[in-house]
Amino acid sequence: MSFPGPGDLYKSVKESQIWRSFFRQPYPNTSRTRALAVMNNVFLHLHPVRVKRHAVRYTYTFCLGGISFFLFLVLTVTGLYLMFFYVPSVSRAYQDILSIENSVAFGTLVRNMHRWAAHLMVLTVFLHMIRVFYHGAYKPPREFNWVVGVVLLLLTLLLSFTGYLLPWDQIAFWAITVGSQMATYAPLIPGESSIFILGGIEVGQNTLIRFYVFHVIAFPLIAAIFMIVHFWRVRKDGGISGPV
Amino acid sequence: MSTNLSYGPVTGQPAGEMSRRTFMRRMIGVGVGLLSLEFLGGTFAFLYPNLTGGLGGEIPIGSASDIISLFPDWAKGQPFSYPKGRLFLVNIPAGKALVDGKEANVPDPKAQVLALYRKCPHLGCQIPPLCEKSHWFECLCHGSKYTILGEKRAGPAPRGMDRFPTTVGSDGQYVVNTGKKETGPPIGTATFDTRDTDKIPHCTG
Repeated sequence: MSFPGPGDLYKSVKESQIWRSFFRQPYPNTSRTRALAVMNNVFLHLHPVRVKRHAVRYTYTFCLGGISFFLFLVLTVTGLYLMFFYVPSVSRAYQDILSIENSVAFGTLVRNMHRWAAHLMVLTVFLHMIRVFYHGAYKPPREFNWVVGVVLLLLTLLLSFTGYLLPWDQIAFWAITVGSQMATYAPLIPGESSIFILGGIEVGQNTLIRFYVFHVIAFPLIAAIFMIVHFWRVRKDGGISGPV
Repeated sequence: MSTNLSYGPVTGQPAGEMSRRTFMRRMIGVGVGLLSLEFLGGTFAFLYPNLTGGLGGEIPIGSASDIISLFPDWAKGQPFSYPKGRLFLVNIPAGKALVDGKEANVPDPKAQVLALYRKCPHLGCQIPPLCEKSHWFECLCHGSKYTILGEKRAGPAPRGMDRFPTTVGSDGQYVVNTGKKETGPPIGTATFDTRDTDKIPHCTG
């Protein structure tokens, strides 16, 4: 009688139903099985199965769209962390920002990551648009995706604008006062658009909660939906745009 | 037209007519479109602020006797500050007497009141209470100066203080409509109080 050795253990794990439910194909070592592995995995299928040679050349796209999306993810995660300590109330908001900075572990780090990522995202989105423009990558069949991209640029700016009020300090208050006064130059509904943005006549509690809700859920959700369409269209229009 | 007898004659859609299926599909499209519009309109209506009773709506301030019970100096010409509406309610006859240096006592000015918005028309600072030395409103931020009627006399402001229309109810209650802000009087308006700014003492520079 022989005792089971390490080889038998390895074999029983590899042949178990659990293992085989995770790994449905054998180790992919041909180009066909590699393509299948990418296509059959929910995380990997976000990547194209095949990439054109020019698409991996960094200096063509400078990865600006990818960096923008990465910054969006950074902002989502750090924003979620900040939400645990921030209450959008005129009596608490500024104090909460100070306490995040001074008494929350890694609070300064998280807040600065959120702030810098936000500034950088505006920059990378803008550079991404310039890159696409100068490469003529907005031309058919990509003209629809250009418009989606313009909407995403607007959403980025709106996220930036709504986030600006939340620290509830002087610069925030006056920036939103000026911004909402610009709305009073809107055609047809000058007064109404300002009142709608502010939730009243002047920047106050109504404005703060309004901007908070738009900042933490409404705009990120809409932006995520547009990003899904944006990335999907990139793939359908032939992958990352190459030299014309 | 086909002549396959086992299926009967095959006919196309007559030109200019719509099939039942196309009609239904378009109606569903129209219905979903209408519902989306309704939903969008409802969202805007839901989010549009209700300004009744606060700044931006009609604010009942109380009758003259209510104001005097809170702030007796109103009868002697001192403007009544009403923070909820960001405004001063000026008792015009008493205010005129105060400016002229006379002893005033006007407990009920009836409709002779003026609601002045406390936001300075220069850059939006809050205008402090009437300066005791000059009996003018003097903005602390950049030194704009206004008479007790909010007419501009000195400083960088482009016009006089903005106003709100005020009505007096049958019960003597003053109601200020802060939703209908009236642009302040232009520079040079002088109803009374034409004192030279250089010849009187001020609270601000």
